Amino acid sequence: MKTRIKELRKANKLSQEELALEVGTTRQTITSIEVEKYTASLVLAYKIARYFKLTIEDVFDFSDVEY
Amino acid sequence: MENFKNKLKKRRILFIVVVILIVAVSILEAFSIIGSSKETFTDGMTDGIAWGTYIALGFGALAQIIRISRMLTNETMLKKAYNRENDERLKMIRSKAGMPMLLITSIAMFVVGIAFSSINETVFYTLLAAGYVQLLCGVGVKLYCLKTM
Repeated sequence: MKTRIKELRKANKLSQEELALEVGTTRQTITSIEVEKYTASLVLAYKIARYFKLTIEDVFDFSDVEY
Repeated sequence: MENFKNKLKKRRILFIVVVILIVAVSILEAFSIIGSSKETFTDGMTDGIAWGTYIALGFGALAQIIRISRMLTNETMLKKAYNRENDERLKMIRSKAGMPMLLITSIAMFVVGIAFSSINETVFYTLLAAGYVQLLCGVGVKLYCLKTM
């Protein structure tokens, strides 16, 4: 799943390690989400979105999701 | 976080007990109070493998004690360890690789194998080989998942 995490991190001058510490995950998981290898759970997506003061839809791109 | 700290303290105590037991067994074996005879090549080999496994387990436990002690004194390290333990992706990978059950059964196989080494040689080798292969499979799956997920 495409995300705006990398872009938001860069805008906030935040490293993967710092973001991981803030949202309670590991740097490797942030990397995996950024490179679209792993899809974050609802809880982690919520934590990441809340950290950037955005909604989940603003951070994660659901356009590829089939209904 | 306090619960995690208490969990780490309990884990440290467990590892200290393991180290004490291994040191005690090693001392007893060094003075030939326990352990199999070393008269034949096979006896010496089983004894050597058993001794090596004890030492490896001991050093592993000692490394864990040092790691946990450092974590308990450093807040950032503690937070990272907490995140690592509760990370959803790593939890999924661990469950795919059959951890921690695979690790527990492998250690149980080693312990039972060593305990039976003086009674039946075939059982000793079979359990040791099965334990190692099982561990190797688990590590292989874990590495594969770490790379692809």
